[in-house]
Amino acid sequence: MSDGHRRAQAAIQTILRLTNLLMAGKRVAVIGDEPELAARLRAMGAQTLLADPAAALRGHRVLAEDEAVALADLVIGATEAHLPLLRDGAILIPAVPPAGPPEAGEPPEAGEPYGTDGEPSGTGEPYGADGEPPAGPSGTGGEPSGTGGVLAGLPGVRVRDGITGYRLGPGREVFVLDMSC
Amino acid sequence: MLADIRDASLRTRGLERIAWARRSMPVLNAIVGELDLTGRTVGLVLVLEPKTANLALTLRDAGADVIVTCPASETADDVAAALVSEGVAVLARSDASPERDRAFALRMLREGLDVLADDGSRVVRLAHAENLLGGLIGAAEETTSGLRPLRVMADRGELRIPVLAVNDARSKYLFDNVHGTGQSCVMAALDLTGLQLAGAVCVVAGYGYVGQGVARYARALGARVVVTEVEPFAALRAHHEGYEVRPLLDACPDADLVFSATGVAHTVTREHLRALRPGAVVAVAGGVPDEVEAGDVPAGVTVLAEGECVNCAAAEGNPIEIMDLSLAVQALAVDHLVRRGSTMAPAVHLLPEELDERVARLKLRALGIGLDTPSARQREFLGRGL
Repeated sequence: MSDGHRRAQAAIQTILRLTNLLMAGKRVAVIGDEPELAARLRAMGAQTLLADPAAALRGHRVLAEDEAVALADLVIGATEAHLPLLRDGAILIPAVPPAGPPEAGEPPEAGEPYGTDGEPSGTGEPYGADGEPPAGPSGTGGEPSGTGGVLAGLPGVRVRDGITGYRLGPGREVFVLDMSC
Repeated sequence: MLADIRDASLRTRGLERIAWARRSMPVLNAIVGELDLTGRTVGLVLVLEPKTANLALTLRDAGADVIVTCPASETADDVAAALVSEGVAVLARSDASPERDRAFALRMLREGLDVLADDGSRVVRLAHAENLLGGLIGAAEETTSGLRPLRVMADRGELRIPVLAVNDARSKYLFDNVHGTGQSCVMAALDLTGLQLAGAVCVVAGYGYVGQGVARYARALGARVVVTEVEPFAALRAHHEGYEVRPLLDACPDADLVFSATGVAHTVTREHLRALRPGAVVAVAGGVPDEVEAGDVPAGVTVLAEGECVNCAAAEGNPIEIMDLSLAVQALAVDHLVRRGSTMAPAVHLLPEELDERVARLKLRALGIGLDTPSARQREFLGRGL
């Protein structure tokens, strides 16, 4: 069986277990090359948003990456570059973890600051290029598990197990899933 | 205030989970201002988890004194603690024996309820058997399997209170039974087993609303799905939706995963279990006692969650957005019973159409989904009856 299918199922299991949400009807931006995951999400009833024009032939909605991210309820493969674009309440899945037996992968440590495993931004756009300055103190780095991490200098607030909230501005909060949970 | 819970110190985690659920419950939020339950005592018998806790809080906010009970296997102790800290009476603990669960239900009934919201009609039936109906105006019943015995009681002239069939509201069963139970049971089975569904054979016994959902989500994740049925229209429907349809005994030897989705006892018999190959897994979606026959499970075969509904017993239950619909129906049913129950006959009643539709419209509004309006020409066409 291809690795993509294993990764896809594992990612969907983790997202739904952490959030207790329904996939049907969600707008999900899939950033990066995850064709099996996008296909599974679509089959579960998600409205998948992809940047690859060929994805239209597989029933996905094709949008420029920035537009997809701005519309999405869930962003898979999210990076800090996407922050200024996100809707209030958006849920970010930093990257799809490697599949395989649990011990074979290299899941990030719980509570590790977001983005430290160097997932490259699809656009290469540095965070803050949109003029949104990192708010508040830049934090103290890796907080212990349970108190949330730090996202682009924003302090995270524990929401519940595996979910950290970040307030991007007035009335605008996004949530980051810890896919190693 | 009544409270018998396992550990009050768990409330913070419970409150976190309740608040997270609330974010995705716009319909319940929208109707809270429409309810008036001032001075009423409402008993809630629902799987005790973050979504149903939001129903308890909504009814409390509408002025009711709320008493919650729940069987041990379906009780989240952190949520119980959180509700108590919010002023809701809770008689539920995950370490309760069946005798204690029953005592909790009796204690709730003796408090003198105005309305009962039940799950599986366990407490409605207990109240009849123990002659504890008191001043109970009526009950709302959440599930398909809970309504069946109540309809039998009504046919025999034994039902003594009006019951609103929350399950039979379209804004409940079209979504909760299909998508809620479907997604959550498939995901719970995968979480519990580590099974890779891509390329696996998944057998779904029963193609009612729950079976349709289970089949759909198992297929979405790459399984080859086989449906088994006793009813010809359901079997034909499954066939036309692209599933293999075969007798259960014939399908068992191929199965990696079997879901029983019939809500009928003795669906998966010992003979079926013996026909499974080693490594096969059996789970119940929805569910009644003995849906999978207990005892001598063959070596190598696993029955998940001891044959109870796999998504309630082994995971966090139905998805939040779906329970927003079902629990909004419950809240409106409780309110309707308070307003009108005393004029309703002791029978199983449907929720008034306008309340059902109101839930669907509020959900569409929350999603930002617009509808077309029939034009004058269309209305004229329809009016001609041609």
